[in-house]
Amino acid sequence: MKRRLKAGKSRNSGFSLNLMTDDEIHEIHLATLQLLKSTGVFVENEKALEIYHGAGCTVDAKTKTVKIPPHVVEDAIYTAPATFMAYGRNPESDVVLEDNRVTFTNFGEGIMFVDPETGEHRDTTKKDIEMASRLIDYLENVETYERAMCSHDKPPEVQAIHNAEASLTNTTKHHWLGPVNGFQLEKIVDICTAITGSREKLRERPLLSFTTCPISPLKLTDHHCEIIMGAAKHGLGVNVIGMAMSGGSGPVHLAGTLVVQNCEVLASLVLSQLSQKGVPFMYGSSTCPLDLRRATATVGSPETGMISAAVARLARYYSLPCFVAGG
Amino acid sequence: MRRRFRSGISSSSGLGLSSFSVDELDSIHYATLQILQNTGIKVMNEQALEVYYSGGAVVERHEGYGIVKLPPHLVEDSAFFTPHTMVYQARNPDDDYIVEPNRVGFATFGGCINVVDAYTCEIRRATKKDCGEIIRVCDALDEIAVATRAVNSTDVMEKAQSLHNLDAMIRNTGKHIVLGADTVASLEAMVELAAASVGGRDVFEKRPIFSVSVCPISPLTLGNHACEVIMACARLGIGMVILPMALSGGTSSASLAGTLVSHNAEVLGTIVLAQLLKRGLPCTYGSTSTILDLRFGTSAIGSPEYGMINASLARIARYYRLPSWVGGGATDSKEADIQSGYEANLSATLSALSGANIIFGAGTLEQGMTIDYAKLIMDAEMLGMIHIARSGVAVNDESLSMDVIHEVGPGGAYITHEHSLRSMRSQSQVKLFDRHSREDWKEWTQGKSITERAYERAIEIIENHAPYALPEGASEAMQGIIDAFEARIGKNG
Repeated sequence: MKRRLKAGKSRNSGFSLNLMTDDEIHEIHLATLQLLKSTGVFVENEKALEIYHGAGCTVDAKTKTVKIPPHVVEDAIYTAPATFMAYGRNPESDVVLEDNRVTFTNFGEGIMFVDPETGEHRDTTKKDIEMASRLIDYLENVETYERAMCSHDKPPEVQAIHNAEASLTNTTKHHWLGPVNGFQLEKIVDICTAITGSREKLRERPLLSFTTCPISPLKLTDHHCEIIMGAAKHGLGVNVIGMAMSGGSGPVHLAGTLVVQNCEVLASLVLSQLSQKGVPFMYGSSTCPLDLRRATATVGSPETGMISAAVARLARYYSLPCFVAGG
Repeated sequence: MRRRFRSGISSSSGLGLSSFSVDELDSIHYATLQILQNTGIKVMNEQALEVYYSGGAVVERHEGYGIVKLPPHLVEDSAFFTPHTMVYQARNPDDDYIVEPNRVGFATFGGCINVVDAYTCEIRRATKKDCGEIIRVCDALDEIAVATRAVNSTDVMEKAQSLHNLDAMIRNTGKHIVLGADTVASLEAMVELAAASVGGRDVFEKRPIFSVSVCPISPLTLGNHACEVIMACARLGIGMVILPMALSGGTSSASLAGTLVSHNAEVLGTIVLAQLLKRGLPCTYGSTSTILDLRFGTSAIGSPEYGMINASLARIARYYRLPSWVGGGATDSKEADIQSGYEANLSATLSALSGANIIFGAGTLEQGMTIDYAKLIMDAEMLGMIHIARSGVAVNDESLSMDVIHEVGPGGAYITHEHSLRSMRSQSQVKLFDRHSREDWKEWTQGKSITERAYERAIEIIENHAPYALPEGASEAMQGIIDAFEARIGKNG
């Protein structure tokens, strides 16, 4: 029997989630713009305050509150790249992050460790990071590496540098590293430069991106600003992970928490794009509800998945690559 | 600040799965019509062949069976005549369950042969007592919408098994019951039994408290037994769940789309017979299809394909506006362990987001061979989580909380705000699962694992839960019906 081709029928490329309508996403966006303009965010860093001011934001020097007009926000959304290249130390580990492309990474940052040999529950060490990153290097379905643990056996002021060394030597996959502050960020960039051979080569194929978190509600700390500006200076990507906890540092209603977090991430995006237009930016989220009965962060709750899915949808609305919690 | 209502913006009622485009659904539908018209289905019952023939089908006779080829209009008519909305009537009217596209509920797996004993945690053949006790636990669990015959009563007279199953179930639940019927004679006795439990045949006819599952045999075959049961259901006015089990790679195409087509042909071919017999007879679009694992020779109900096939079939059922009854929440693991949790959650979530009316699989292990109380209790909690997730993120002025965010401001605290206290109940809650800090967890569990705590909960229900009471004298009347049936069967050999 002859079966001729069917003329252009619409096709689904796979399963996906019907989550919020375009109208609803637009509501969240409008609410965010209104709050950024009328409530504003607290910004702890002097240089960052100047940058915001220079772009037309209203800055109250006494309260360190920055109110951002909508066009500045829209502009930053527009200039941030839609495709994020997560380069590996080895080109085979390169991963393209954009639109609907889905990848997985490990959780970070664990502060306690279940020792695989003794079964003991204890503080994490630099050696544990070496083991974990080698394991992640092996796992096919974990495409990138997030700093898995903390080097508790090293002095606190330089732990981030040790964390970086431990994993950079054990996996070729793209790194998401939290540098804690601008000082350690510079040192980590030096380590990476030693690996790639030069600053230019690092800029060409950045094998790492920096992760940093605003403090909910609506606070950009001194270190957070340093990291965003530092990453921009070196042309490296920054992954801003919102952590508004609904019921604790955000409203109980998930939509409200999404708005708070969206304000924090977009305010960070503005700083990033004002520092260097076009510098790669990830829309991150590690939000979950605060269990108001037990006062614990409930990363296992259904709401965690719901918020993460909603954030991913929101990021797609902005054409920004995203990084959300799940698993 | 005044925030006036926005005029008609589109909003979503929750999370849903986007699986096929309408064009793709059309393609599946046309492929099914072509298979039914050109390939046909094998029907192994003379009377059923007559019914198909007089309805307008082409019947090719062979020795002991006929090939029935259905013209497209007959298939489309039949799908149209099947009720698009119906109620699974329950002995306890509070448990009546409305089935229509997108309303989601859950049930246990059906027809397991083993049970993991809640007291000894040992695996053994299931008895009538187990059949009743599992249903009693289901009766107590809010997340379970209808009662499926989870295990067979393997300790009773074999030919009276389905009657005993129904007896055990009626005594232990007020919810609607779905089970298989061994023979037409036992189905007739089952109707008598159910009628006795609700106070008479006239009451039962208005509110049939059970439906019967019938299984076409893949590929594309309606056996003699299935035909007999379908014809009896039509005569007695009993609803059916049509439940093919196509095994992709074994009894259907190795491609999932091909499996969907032959599965769809089996359901629609059966619906044609039912609607020709009695227009408007309630038929539910069922599925227990999955893949045959070609390495292990097992039907892999823990595979991702299980969820994909069943979620797809739920979508196809919605395309025809038919109520659906599909798999989800099962596992291939032999224990209620982490594998069972992962597998059960994936398929249950996919089927739920696809809008299936009943998703069966709670409590089952081992490719559907075994029911485990701990898994049943833990699954119920997971199903509650799926219900929460399915409800989605509400976006409106109240939930956007703009004024609250402004009042709290940068660096403030929500936990002490009156709004948080007021909205606290909208948060999900845990019963068996743990959300404590590590220190509190140690104290709370006293070193007991979640499975141990789940068995304890099951025992507590088995020993203390009182199901919806039977009317006076019903219990004795039901026993009398069973005795008479067994005596008759025994005499006839």
